[in-house]
Amino acid sequence: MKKTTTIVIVENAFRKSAIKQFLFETKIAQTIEFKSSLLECMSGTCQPAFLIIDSELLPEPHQVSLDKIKQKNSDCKILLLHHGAVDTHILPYIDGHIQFFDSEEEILHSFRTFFTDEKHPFVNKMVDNTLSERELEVVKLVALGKTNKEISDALYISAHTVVSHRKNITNKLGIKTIAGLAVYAVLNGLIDPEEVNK
Amino acid sequence: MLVTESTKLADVIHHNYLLLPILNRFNIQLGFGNKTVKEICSEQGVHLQFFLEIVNSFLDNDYFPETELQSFPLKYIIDYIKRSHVFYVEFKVPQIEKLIAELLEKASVENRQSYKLIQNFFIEYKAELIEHIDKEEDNIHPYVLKLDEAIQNNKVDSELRALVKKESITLYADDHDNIEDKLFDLKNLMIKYLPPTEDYSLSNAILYELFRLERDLGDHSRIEEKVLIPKVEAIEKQILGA
Ligand SMILES: [Fe+2]
Ligand SMILES: [Fe+2]
Repeated sequence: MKKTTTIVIVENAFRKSAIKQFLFETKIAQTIEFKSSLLECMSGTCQPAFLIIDSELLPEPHQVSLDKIKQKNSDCKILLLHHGAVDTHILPYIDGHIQFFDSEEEILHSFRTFFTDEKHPFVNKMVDNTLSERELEVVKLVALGKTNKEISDALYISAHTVVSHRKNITNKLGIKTIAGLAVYAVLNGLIDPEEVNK
Repeated sequence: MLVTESTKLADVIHHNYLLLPILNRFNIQLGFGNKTVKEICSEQGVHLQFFLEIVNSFLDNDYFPETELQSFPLKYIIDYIKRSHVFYVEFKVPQIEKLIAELLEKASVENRQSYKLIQNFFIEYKAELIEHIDKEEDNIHPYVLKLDEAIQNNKVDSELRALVKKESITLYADDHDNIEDKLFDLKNLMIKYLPPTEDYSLSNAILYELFRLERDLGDHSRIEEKVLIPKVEAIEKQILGA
């Protein structure tokens, strides 16, 4: 069953009515609810399909807040309304953004793509973020401080394949450094704490 | 927001409080009432254009009038970079270290081991950051200032040319590594993989600090790479051509 509730979190009366007008013009959003804080929307029963939020009402750090929303409701599409340049770090967490200075045309276009686009513009949501068996083995060896050459010898795979596994691991986990992967490996029981830094 | 000389400094801070530490780097203290950027800069002896470029480039990453920033004396840029280093090493890093120690202290027995990993990770990061900064201050900055001085005083000789050939800022540019990567990892480890703590305000505080430090360091590296290095490269060319 498709959920079509849209929640709009804005405080300012002026912005509220402007957004109402735009949503009315795009004729896409079906049920629209206005809320004045994100908290009202974090309860268990609230499962909007679309969430439009004023960046001023999104608690800092934005990345953490957005991650929380997605964790609670991964199907929810998020549109961020903001003033200045949008921080590139948060792009993977949102499905669109509108700047207050955008032209009328740009705003309408952003609303339309936000409501109609099936695909996430920045990150493909269908990507499975769990590591494969092979990737787990690679993480383990990287965490133990093995070089790509040593890993390729140990697992009987080409150096090129090791590099591509490492790239996928970094993308899936969001961890770039060897030290970071070592912590991940210990936290997940892939290696013993005593084995780190040896 | 584009900050100009007539913008009130208080409005700038209301717009983005992350600029507060940048004020400190220019020795600007709070309590400036309704004064404009221009008034404060002239009172504090801060180079107005340099201040505006630093603030605007922080607010908008796309705003980077490299040529304009590069027209400032190297001394200002080095001075600013040094002050940022002090802020990281003497202030921010110890603060985060303390928060992490507190986290460990309050951790339940079963979580302690995990938090210890985070602490070690940060200690290791600190050592790397200090090494990175020491290398810049001990090797790069004196070299840059030497070139700057020679150019200002029109004292380019064969000895200096030999130095430029040997030292060359490109060497620094080539292995100037990304000191934010580990902070990025640390954030993700805490957000995604660390067992949660009961004291969420403490872990939030650590995350806030990590986010801010990462942002600040990113801005710092941008100034080193997009302002300092190109400017020194231009001076080197000038010296070798002279
Ligand atoms: Fe630096
Ligand atoms: Fe640096």
